[in-house]
Amino acid sequence: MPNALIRRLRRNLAGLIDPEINRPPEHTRGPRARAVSAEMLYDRLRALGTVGRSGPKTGQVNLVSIARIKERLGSEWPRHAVNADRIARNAIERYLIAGDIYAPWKDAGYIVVFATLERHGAQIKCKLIGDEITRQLLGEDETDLSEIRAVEMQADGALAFSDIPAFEQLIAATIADPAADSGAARESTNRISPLPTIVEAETIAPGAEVKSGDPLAGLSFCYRPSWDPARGVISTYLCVARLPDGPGGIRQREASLVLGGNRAGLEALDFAILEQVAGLLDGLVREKRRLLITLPVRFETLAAAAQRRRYIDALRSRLAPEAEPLLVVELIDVPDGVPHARLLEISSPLRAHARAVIARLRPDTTEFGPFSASRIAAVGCDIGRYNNSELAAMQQMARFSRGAAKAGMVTYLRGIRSISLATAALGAGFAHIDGNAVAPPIELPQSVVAFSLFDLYNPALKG
Amino acid sequence: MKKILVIDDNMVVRNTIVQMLESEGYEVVSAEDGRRGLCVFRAEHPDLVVTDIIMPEKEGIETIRDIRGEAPDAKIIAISGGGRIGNTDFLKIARQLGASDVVAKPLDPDHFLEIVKSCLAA
Repeated sequence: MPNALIRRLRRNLAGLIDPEINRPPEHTRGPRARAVSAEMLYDRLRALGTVGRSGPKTGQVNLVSIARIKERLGSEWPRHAVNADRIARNAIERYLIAGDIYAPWKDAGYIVVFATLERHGAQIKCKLIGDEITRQLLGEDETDLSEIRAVEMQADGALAFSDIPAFEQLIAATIADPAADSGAARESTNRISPLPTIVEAETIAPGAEVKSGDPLAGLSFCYRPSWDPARGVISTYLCVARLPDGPGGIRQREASLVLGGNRAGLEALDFAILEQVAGLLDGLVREKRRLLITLPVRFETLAAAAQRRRYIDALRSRLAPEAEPLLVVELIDVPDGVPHARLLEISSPLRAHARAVIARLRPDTTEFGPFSASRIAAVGCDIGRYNNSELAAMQQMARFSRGAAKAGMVTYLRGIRSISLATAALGAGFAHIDGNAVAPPIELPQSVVAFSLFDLYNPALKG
Repeated sequence: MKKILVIDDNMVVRNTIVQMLESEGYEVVSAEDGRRGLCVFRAEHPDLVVTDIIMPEKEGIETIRDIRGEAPDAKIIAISGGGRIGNTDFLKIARQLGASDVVAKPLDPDHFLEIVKSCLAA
């Protein structure tokens, strides 16, 4: 795929190419394009009359396949599949208008049906959607790995897929023979600039590549269940904020790690997580779900009195009283040697709005007395942040667990990256260990809240 | 002479088991974790595998499953000292996911050797 050409086209072919150009303001838009079930897709295809003939409308149904992106990611794909699907759907929805529909096809494709565009216009748009998905998943410089196929429904109801012309041919066909493709021709009359503009386009600054300067741009959230193996249940769900790391949106890391030493960014992040968790708790209260959600907040954010007040005020104003029993606040990045009085000063106002306050410490912490004396409900560590060998991690875990047990504290472990570390954590006596990230818990069926030791060995749950 | 593979990350425990088995006339090979144990299994084709559960890199139950995947008839004894979780424990899971027999640590030598013999005879 000629990357340079497609990128230049994106910037110059106005409305057809860039979904944000000539797009009506949000409040004036009609209903957005939507994802539909396979059944609804088939109904639409039948209604379009694509059965058994190559009529003028057949080209308006296309498959955008990201199978080659899946191939490129290889064994990493299962870990990224959910994120890839979210990014792909967002990209598709940005390009579609009311009346257009799309449906996921197998595990790495989307069938897109345009309500008004004809063949060439539809295929150009699909090509651009595919290119955008590639860029968002793998980065700006990546060659477009998406594949577009025209879709036709056969008489027996099966879908047939065929290759589409090269991108340059589609553009040429659209411009040279608008009558042959009336829908695209209408679009081209209104929106497509002639090709010579493209040639000059290299001097035009690409708006999409301008960095927004927002350190939290691209922030997304997932929830990591904390499993209580003794009771066989998921005890809490930790809200984990993630940011794109490196080019492309598919490679994400925990937001605090991506932000590194950006103090303002980290503080903004703590407030953004609070906002996210408060929203989820609102939903849980509404649905009468009794799940516990863990809200992480950096010790540093709460260290200064003014900032702490601001955070507590936000907690108070955002959280309904009924939500407080569902909230666990986790102090993270707690420095070594914090005195008991300081811990009390910081944890007490949090405890007033939460069921419990817990503290995530360094794995080499040996002094647990101040936490026990400050009514911290549990202490834990994140073994995944340190690049130790598994043997070293296991030894550290055992020391941490022994030390905390001496102080009579409940323990939890985060950052488990393998089954061997999970079993070692349980063997070491950790009361709660992290599972794999899941969708917002409000979307999960009740049955997911249970967990058993067997789940560790369930290949479907491998992260 | 029957060959036995012993997999345990704890050197003291591993050597104790090796000596115990050698004194009974078995040929013994050993490995310090599941990943290495699997390599030794492929190279040595032992008649019996004795594996710990809690180990770095690849723990015992994963190792048992991998060995079972390659050699469905393999004879495997799982040993473990910790990790009792509620109503279930690792040895119970090891049994259900492929171990021929299980022995709790600390090992009673007579009981352990009896199980080794009956496993090899089966």
